[in-house]
Amino acid sequence: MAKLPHILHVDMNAFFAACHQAQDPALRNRPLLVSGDPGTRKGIVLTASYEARYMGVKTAMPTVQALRLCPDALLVKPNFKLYVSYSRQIMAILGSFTPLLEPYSIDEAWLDVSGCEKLFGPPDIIAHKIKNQIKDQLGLQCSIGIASTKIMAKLASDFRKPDGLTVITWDDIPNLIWPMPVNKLVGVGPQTAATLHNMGVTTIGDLANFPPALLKQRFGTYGPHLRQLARGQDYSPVDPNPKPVKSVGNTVTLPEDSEDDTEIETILLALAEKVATRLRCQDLTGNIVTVSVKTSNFRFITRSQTHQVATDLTETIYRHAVSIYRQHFRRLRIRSVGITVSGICSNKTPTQLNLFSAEKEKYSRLAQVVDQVRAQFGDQALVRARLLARSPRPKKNC
Amino acid sequence: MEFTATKEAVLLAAQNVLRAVPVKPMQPEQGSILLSAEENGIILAGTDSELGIKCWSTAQIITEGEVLLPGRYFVNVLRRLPPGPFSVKKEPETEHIFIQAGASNFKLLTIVGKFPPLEPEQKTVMATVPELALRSGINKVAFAAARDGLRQLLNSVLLSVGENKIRLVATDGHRLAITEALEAGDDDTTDYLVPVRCLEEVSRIFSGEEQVEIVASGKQIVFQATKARVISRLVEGKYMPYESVIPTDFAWQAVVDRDELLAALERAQVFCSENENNAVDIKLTATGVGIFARSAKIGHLEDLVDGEIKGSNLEISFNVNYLIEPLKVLEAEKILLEFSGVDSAALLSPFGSQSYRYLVMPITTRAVS
Repeated sequence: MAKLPHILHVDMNAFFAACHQAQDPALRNRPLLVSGDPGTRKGIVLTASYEARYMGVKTAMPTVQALRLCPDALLVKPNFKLYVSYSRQIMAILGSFTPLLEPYSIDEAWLDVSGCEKLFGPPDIIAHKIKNQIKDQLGLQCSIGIASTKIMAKLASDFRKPDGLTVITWDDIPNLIWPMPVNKLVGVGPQTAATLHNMGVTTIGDLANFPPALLKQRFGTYGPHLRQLARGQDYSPVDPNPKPVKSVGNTVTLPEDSEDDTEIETILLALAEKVATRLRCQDLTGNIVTVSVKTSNFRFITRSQTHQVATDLTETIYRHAVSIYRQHFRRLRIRSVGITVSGICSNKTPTQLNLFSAEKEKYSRLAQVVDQVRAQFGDQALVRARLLARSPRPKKNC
Repeated sequence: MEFTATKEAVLLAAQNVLRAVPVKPMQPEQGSILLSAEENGIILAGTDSELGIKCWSTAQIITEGEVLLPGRYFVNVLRRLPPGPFSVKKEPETEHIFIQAGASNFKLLTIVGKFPPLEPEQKTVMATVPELALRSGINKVAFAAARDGLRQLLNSVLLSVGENKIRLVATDGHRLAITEALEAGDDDTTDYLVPVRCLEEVSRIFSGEEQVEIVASGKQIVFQATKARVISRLVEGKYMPYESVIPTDFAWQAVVDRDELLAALERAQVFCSENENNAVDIKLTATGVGIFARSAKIGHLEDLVDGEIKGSNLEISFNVNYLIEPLKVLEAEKILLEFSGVDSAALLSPFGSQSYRYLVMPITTRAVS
């Protein structure tokens, strides 16, 4: 049998909150909530520091509720530039141990350290070195899981938080992993978890010992695949290549629920503009437009349209989005709305040109000029007339 | 109803008619074929909501009558009859027909229901064209139409009658074929949008040397010869402004032998079919047209087709199938290829003739301007 790889999963603890605490000593050792404005409806807790977590605050809790549990908590607004900057530094540290580094999110990554023993020592020593280096250089804590597969390493890093280090061997799986709830397994989302619960599967162990034929009947080929994951049989290698972009989307939560078609279509235009600009920045186009809304009673609905021709133009995305909106979402009280473009392909791949695209060419040239002007003079230098009322203006003091 | 006929004649008519019958009918009568015995012979008819086909066949009629039969079963029965004569009989007040040939006796249940008449709304003949010319015209453009069943305009062929000619135009948005070979009609120009599926049936059914009468009114078009009628709903809407996308200035021209170019492109196709977009690279050199195809998985091809070239140093890519298809239907010995740039349309036509024009857009990465 080939030698099993040594895979580390590094998971930063309370990352957003920790970044603020690392940057500003005044925030350290105090309950801290990274959250939207408690006065607005976007006011939910993105991350709570461990000091606040001990008081019962959880992620995604409304800020108002969190403050009731933890009245002394300090509030900070999210600062994504700060998180990205810390994330880059963390990945740089991880990358200095092995080139086989696969970032999983802004604050999580897998490393395959097989063969690094001569350089840095056995995997647990490497893990200690990583933890120390991140703590010394950045002032952040992380939990690390070590196993021979990605999925077990991720479960292992979840074991002891904050600042944990857990090694899971093949023999530990039944004792340590199987009692965990099934939704901890990567690939089991809320939907799958609910279906599994209905089938009597609540722990990873239940899944691992469930008859594969029944899983196949319920989930198709994905069922037996999940069962294999639950048994620790995950042979996907740590892949250092960045994943290609699959979709580009933006969402806004309205200040108040609305069923005003004109207002929502104006918001769709603003969203289309944002998504189209992001697509063009990355030289991407997409042919599937999805509109998602959350209604005032928290129902989440998405509808999409697939088109023959991929686009990166505000006008086209807006037209498709409005057509979806008018077809499916009229007369709903809407809380938040978003546009996503998927079916992504790169502008750099060869494309079959169209005969009847004179209008599209015109808008492409317009978009190019708009992008150039904004790049030079700022995003607000050119605004669509319809969006003028929405663009932020300095308020006069009374 | 009772008649005798020969298997070969009736089977041919029934197979033609079956092509208009839906494969998966919602109701039994939608999947039916109408069989009627009249004084001069039998008539078979089939239709879906868009296309209808009616065929006449000779038979010895003993008693007249008509009946709806399950289309696919009826044709399968006919196919399996022994060659030669067979007889069909239906007693009044019964719900089945008897088909008898040699020692084989079939009893086939009929379908109760109504069948649309498939008659022209008006009788004025718009044009009369020889079957051969009509077929050749259709075959030269139909392949360029879209077949996604979604974009109605692109799934149809523009039939433009007037000034003593019939012009056929088809496009799927990537390429465009125009032919004006037919001589017929004399009125002002009138445009009809005919579903490509209808014209393909016309081309298949009218394969002899008779004349075909074309009758069109507001919503339908009828193609009629002595033995068959194809009737179709017209597509409503305005066709693409195709004249405006045909370039007028061509900086590059090449005159090449059709067979040689086709053979080289078919060699290239082996490698292109592995690639996205089926891209083949074309290079104009002083002596001819260079053809290059490469596939990372298989290998590559370099080929040169001799020709007379005007302009040089053009490198351009196309979907190889978009070049092979028109070359296959053209009869010309020499082909004129004209190019107006790496990201604009190229024109392919028979050298020395304006009767056929084929416009095709290249494959490119987005031009950085």
